[in-house]
Amino acid sequence: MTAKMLRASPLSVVVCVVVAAVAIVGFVLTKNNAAQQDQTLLHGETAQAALIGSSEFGSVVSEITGFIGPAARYDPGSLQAIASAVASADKSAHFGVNVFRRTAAGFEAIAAAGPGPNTGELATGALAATLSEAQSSRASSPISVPYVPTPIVRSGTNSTVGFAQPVSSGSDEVVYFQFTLDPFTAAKSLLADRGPFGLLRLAVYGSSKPQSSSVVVATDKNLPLTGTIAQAEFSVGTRTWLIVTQARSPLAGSFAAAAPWVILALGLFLALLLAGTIEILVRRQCYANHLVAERTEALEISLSDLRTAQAKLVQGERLAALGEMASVVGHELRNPLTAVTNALFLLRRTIGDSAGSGVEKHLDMAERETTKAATLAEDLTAFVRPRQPVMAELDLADVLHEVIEATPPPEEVELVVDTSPATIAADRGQLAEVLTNLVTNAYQAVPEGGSVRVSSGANGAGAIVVVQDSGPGIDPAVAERIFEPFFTTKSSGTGLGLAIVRRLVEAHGGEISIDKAPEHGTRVTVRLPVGEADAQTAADEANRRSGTDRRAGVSSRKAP
Amino acid sequence: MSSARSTGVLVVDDEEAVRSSAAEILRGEGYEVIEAPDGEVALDLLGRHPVSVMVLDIRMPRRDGVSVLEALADPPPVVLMSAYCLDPDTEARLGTKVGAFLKKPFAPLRLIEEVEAVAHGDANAAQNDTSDLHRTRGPSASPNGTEAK
Repeated sequence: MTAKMLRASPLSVVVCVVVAAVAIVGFVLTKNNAAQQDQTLLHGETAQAALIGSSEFGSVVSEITGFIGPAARYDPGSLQAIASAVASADKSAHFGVNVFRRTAAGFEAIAAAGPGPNTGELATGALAATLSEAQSSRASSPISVPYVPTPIVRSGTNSTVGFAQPVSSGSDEVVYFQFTLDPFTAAKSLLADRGPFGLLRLAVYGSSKPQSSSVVVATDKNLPLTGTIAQAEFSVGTRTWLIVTQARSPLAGSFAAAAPWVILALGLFLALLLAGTIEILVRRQCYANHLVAERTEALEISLSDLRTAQAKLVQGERLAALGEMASVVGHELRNPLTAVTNALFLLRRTIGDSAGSGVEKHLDMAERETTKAATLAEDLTAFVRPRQPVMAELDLADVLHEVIEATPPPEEVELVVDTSPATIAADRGQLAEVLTNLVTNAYQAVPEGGSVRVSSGANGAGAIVVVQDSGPGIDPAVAERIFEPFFTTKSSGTGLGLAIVRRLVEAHGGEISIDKAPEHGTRVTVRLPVGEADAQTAADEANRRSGTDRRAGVSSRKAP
Repeated sequence: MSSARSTGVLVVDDEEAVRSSAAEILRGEGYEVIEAPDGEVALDLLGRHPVSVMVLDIRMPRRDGVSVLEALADPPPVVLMSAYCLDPDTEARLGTKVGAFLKKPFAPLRLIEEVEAVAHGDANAAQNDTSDLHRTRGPSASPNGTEAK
């Protein structure tokens, strides 16, 4: 029962799963969309950042060169002072500046401040190559002067980058300056929250590849950046640098980021809500169906009861009509029978002892047949007469013994009586009539001799009597009809005996059945309830037991 | 047996065959018997011919047996007879006016016995016979059998 109540209906489970699936798909789609949107925005921001970086570096280099270059051309004497002044502006002393002039021997430093070759020295190695490249580069436009950044040099946490730019396109004087900076600190001071930089975490590499050896500026110490990143190349002079970015927070806004989760949560909630609602409806319908089935069953039962009752009523009415007729016939027979009986009596008295054996024989026959007719009249009226049982407490075994004493078995019948005490309330006279009838029937069932077994005792809350004979037994088809009035298997019976017996037993609230005994013969079973003694008759019965009842007188009078 | 039979008996029954045969039986026993076919005639006869015993049927035209007894303040001893049972209400109402009750058909010998008993005021026997109403098959089933022989 509990397991059944806990089990959800298939429909609600399916709806729950489908809605949840839709919610999850919606979640994935919106999440992808948000990520895509973020990615697009990030690319845009990154491109902007790259542009800014490119132009910033260009302008810084141009500014420095534009400041130093004219001095180098027109007043080389002042060059040293200017370089020192520029270098000292950077208090960290990580800024160095040189001015080289191309000579036949190579690039000779004509002014120097900060780290780098001293004045009069020739540039060597990578520096010489850079200077040469800068000096020989062709500008992309007539007004701009090309410049060349050096490869990044990492030293501890610091990175050093240098820039070489001729004073003017194709000039022999080339300005070279270098920065040494900590990329993390530089990111804080250089980028601040300007433009797109406030939104981004980024790393700028002095090459086209995100190599940690070429990092110039970085907001994070842990590189490379992982997760959703964007990168953009940008030109710094003649070289290509790389910027790698990552959004600090969703660029599309917090709602766009939350939307997938909101959709997922709402979807799952909706799934549960729908499933719950459907479950309730399904259960209600189930309950209603169950109720309908129950009511239908109850209705069918009452209908069947009604049919049974109707059948009983019809049967009862038939019996009532039959009884009415039986009563009329029974009573109408009584006066003629009385007259015939009286006439036979007078006849016998008139003839007296002079009657011949022939007359005697005819008289006997007339008397015998009149007796039979009287019995029939008695049975007919007994069958009809409503006799309310007068209930008194008694021992069934007592009554049975009295009956057997009054109705002893014929010589050829062996009678076995087996009783145990069973106290019930019943009408003593009617009970005796029932038992007499059953015992007599049993005797008649074994005309050629046999045995009759009568047993009685307590049975549950009531009592039971079983009368069994060793006769030929009863046909089941006959057993069904044997209690109907006027139904008889005997040649001489009226067919009312068992009908009367059943009526009496039923008046006591008991039941009677007849069947073929398991071994052989017929078995009649009477079951009687305990019953309730009438207050009045309880006293009578007490008197009867003490032997003062007038009925005791009757039986003694009958005896002779 | 016949020495004391000079007493008068009135037999009242609308069935001529029953009435005349019962009267004949009683005459055979030495009673002086007069007959009446209904209650009215019976009352009329009783006014003119007092009797010692009345054998009275219950169901009769004009005036029935019960009505006859109710009309008489001090009726003679009565043997009541009927094809029907005496219902307890009527039995209680009539009380001691009924000496005996015979259910038809009855053994002629019993008629003789009861008439004799009530004529001699044998109330006990009368009581016993009234209680015979409760019998079903026993004695009633053999009203004229071997007893008549």
